[in-house]
Amino acid sequence: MSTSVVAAGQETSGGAPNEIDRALGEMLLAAAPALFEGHGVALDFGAQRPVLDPVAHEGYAGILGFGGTGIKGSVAIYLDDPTVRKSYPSAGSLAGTDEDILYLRDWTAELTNQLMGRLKNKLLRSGVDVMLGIPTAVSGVSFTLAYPGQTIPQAYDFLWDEGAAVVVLTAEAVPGLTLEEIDDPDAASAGEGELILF
Amino acid sequence: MPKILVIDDSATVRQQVSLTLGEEGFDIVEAVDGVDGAEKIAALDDINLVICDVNMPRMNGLDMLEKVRTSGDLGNTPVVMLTTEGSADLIKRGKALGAKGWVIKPFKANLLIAAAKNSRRSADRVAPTAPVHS
Repeated sequence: MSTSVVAAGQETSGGAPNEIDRALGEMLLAAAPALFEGHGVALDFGAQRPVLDPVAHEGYAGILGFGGTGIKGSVAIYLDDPTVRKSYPSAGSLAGTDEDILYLRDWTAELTNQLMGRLKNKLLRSGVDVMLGIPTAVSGVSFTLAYPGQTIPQAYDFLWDEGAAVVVLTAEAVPGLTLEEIDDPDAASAGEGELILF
Repeated sequence: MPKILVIDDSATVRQQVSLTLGEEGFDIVEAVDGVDGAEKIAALDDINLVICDVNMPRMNGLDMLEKVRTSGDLGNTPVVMLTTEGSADLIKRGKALGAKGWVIKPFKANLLIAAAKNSRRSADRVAPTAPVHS
């Protein structure tokens, strides 16, 4: 089954609400601001956007695929230059040269990884385990998403005082899969920032 | 000066860890993935602690840990995993492979420092003592 939602919680073109996209959308709307807040950027959700509209700002894009029993997909993030620089952990180490692009691209890939990590931990609490791919990132002046057509991605705009971010989630799930939090100690996952000593 | 091998495919994370632990007096060596990490563990005999990511190209961190544990290259050197992965199954595997700690990214500097110091103390306790000859 392909999942296609125009807005989290809205009905799909087929008439029935898509629970998987709604659940993933809610996870994303919690995960993305929390991630960026931890890196010093107070992102607010703006709105869902038409997925084929180009992201017309110079910046960075990262993408990471995931797959598991009953679900597969990808997460992509588009960040403008101020957002990447503000979230960069050692902004003082950036030299103001072209080489900065390599570090900011690397950081965009890592942010994609950390965002997907948060989503994975939320999925685990619903009893759904997924394997993560290796993130990759590019830099450019305008980004337009192309997709095969069977699976319609969800695209979310986030804003803060000096910049913007867009997160695009694409997912396919088998019929009958649900993403409700379960009370299963074996499905528990450790939280972000947590330290476990053995 | 205690030497820490930091294995992560993100240059930014390696830099972040290096800055955090460098200020605490640790000497840092970096590796870019599991293959590079295994090679450095085999080549360097003065590493006091390994901090290792899980999801990396070429060889992931848990496979690398298994490899250097099986080969004997790791010896008693403690390993702390630093990753976005919070899966109970992966954490159990890391523990079974002898990891001493598991930190979920993004890390808090004080917790990473605590993990590094705790793992070193733990390694000191289990380090074999020299045989006494009369």
